[in-house]
Amino acid sequence: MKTCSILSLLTMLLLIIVLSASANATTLSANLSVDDAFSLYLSTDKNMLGTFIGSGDTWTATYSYNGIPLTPRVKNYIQVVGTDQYQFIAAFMGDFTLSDTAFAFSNGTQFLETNTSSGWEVYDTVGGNPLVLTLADYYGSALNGSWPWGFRTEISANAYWIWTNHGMDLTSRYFVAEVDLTDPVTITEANLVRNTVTVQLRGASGTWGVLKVTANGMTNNYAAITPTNPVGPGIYTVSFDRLNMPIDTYKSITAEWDIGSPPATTTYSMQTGWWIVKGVIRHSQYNTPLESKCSGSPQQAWVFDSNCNFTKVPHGLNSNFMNQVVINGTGYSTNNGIIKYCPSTWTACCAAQRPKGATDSNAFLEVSIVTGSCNTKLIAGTSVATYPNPHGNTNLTDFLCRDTALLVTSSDTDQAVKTTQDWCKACSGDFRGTQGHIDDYSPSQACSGSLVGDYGNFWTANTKGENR
Amino acid sequence: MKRQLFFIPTLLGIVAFASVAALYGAEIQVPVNKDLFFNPKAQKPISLTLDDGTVLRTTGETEVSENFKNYDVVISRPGKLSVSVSIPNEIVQINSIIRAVGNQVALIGMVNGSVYKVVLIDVARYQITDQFLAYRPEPSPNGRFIAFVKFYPPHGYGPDFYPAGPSDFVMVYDTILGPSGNRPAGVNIDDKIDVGTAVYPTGVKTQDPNVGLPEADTNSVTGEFFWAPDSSKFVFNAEHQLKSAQTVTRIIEGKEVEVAKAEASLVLVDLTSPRSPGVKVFQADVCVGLCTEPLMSVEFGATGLKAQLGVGPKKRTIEVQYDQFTSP
Repeated sequence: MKTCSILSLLTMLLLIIVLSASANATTLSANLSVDDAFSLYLSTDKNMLGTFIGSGDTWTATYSYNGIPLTPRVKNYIQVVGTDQYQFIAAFMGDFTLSDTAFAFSNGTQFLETNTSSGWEVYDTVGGNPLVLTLADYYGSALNGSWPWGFRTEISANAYWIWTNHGMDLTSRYFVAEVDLTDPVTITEANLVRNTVTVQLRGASGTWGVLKVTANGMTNNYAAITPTNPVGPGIYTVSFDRLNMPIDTYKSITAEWDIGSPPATTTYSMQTGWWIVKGVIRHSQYNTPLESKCSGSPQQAWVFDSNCNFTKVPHGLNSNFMNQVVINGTGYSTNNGIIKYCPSTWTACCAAQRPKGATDSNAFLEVSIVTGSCNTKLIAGTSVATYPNPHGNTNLTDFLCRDTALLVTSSDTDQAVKTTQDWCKACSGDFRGTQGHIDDYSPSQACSGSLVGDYGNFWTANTKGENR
Repeated sequence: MKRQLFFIPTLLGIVAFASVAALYGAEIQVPVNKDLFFNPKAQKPISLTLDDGTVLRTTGETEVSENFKNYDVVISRPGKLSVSVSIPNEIVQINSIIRAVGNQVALIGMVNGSVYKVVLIDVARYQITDQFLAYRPEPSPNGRFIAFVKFYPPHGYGPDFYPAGPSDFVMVYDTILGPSGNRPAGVNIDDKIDVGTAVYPTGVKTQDPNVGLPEADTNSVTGEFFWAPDSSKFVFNAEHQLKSAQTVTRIIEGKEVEVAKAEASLVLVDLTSPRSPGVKVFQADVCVGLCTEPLMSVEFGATGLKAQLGVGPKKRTIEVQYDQFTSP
């Protein structure tokens, strides 16, 4: 029994040692053909030939190599020395594949084929003068399958025969392609509305480490929910427990992959798309009442335009409707369009031109559109009004015009994404036990406020236009 | 019970209750139907029993209507038939009924998510004696005073209209004075806006315009009003827009960044001599330019007060001695 326990311990220890051993080296596979001959090398110095891999001297053949180990942790170079031996025409075609994401070609992927657009450079000799890379298209097309070479099934159908001077430089040429180390950790996306941070981990197969993702605020860092066990290379999408995210302005996200000392890290700056967490906010609602929805009897009323031309409304306006226009600021009248409360204490409200009987409570300014302080048309169900005034404000941590307000329910699901378009002066208070107050523009056209109750208390963040 | 639930320690709540009870007897109730929501669809009847046995009970909303429906306050006096008093139909939620001075009660209702209407009812005469629109009305613990922000339309301000928008005028309604005593000469007693004594900003008058003012002259009350337990004073945070020359900047990451276009002051209104001009207003500029956060709670002590400003990382507690408050 004791022997058995010791064996078990040794087995576990061995397993731990195997798991913590260094990752497998990245390898290269190559398929190539050269008209007429080539030598293939892999080097860590672009200007010196490296390890010889193989060679060929038959242009009708395709040569394949697998499992060529790259030198870890440094940049590698594929080197092909091609030579024309029998006059027309000179050309080189091939494709190259890396075994994992620890390295990448200059196109950012693990696969590279010959063409003139990316990945390849050509010189007259090793360490010599750079030349202009061209397709070997002296006879027309240089795509795999072209005459006189025919289609090479071992090589990508999208590969081209390349050389200099369209294949008419009948001499030796030195081709080189860079194989660079990749960033082990990259954040490709961070979106609070979708509640996702996408992290790409690159490395040799067998690389494992614990992944941590944090949102970096001005006064604290908040960890995302990440796998508790070590993870390997791949793409991971993590999320936050938003409801417990402290009130703060989060300007960047950091991902840390603990694959050694120091761990691999990256920081993703959110530029102006910050996450400004406001906490649980009371969302009251306001609306523009419709006169036809109001009970009550008509009473004498006037409307006037911006030039102070007063018109007595022939049959008057509904008394309750006028009362609501005073209280809400704006209303949809049945026959006179949109009207606004305009107290005589303000000079623009034509106090001097008012006819006898016209008062603040029965004389209203006609306007063509319901706008907020941002001077844009309010959209029912979408627009919100905030404090301080979003118009003319330069404090980026406040809600500014066109900033988006993300509303999240108590079960951490998105309730709505709304747009800041108006000012709610009264939202400087009346929080009702929450941490702030926003007034949401309701689609209701009810005359009475009884159908325009609070939208609710929601965890709210200013996502600065994210997913507008 | 907003103040007791969220802002003032239980002990202070007990002190406040004891203060009211001492004035009006042991049967005083302060029934409320507010706090977490403005939700007219789901309000329940509330009631208040006065020390002479008079019971006031409101009708709760039982159906939702796009139109207006009057709430009633049923007043039942000992030995007399119950009488219903119909309250103004734009009130769609009744938040509380507060015992005021004499035979009066103050009913605090809401007409929408931000705007309140305060209705004074004489329970002996079964009639409404006064009413006015307000923001954030906060009765004093003894029910005599109501601090509030003067009404202005909550929305409709834009660059082309009311360019500078409204200013918060802090008002006090004194239930001893009645409708005419709470309105300046020349203002009709039916007026629902130019009501109460203007106490802040200093120098403004009740009927002065509170919209369309130059930005530098506007004031905002950030947070709530907080009354001392003895109803002798209340405190609020007042934020003023700064003139551009006074804008506060800081060097952040090598760049000069505007961090404040406003300054704020804790304001203490002393109502020991409540009749204007006896009202004394004091101001403590304890964190100029940097404390524009809402006032969330106040604890009144013997020689000073402790105020909590802001939430989250901007939350701060400041202690101010009463002698730090000076005339503005």
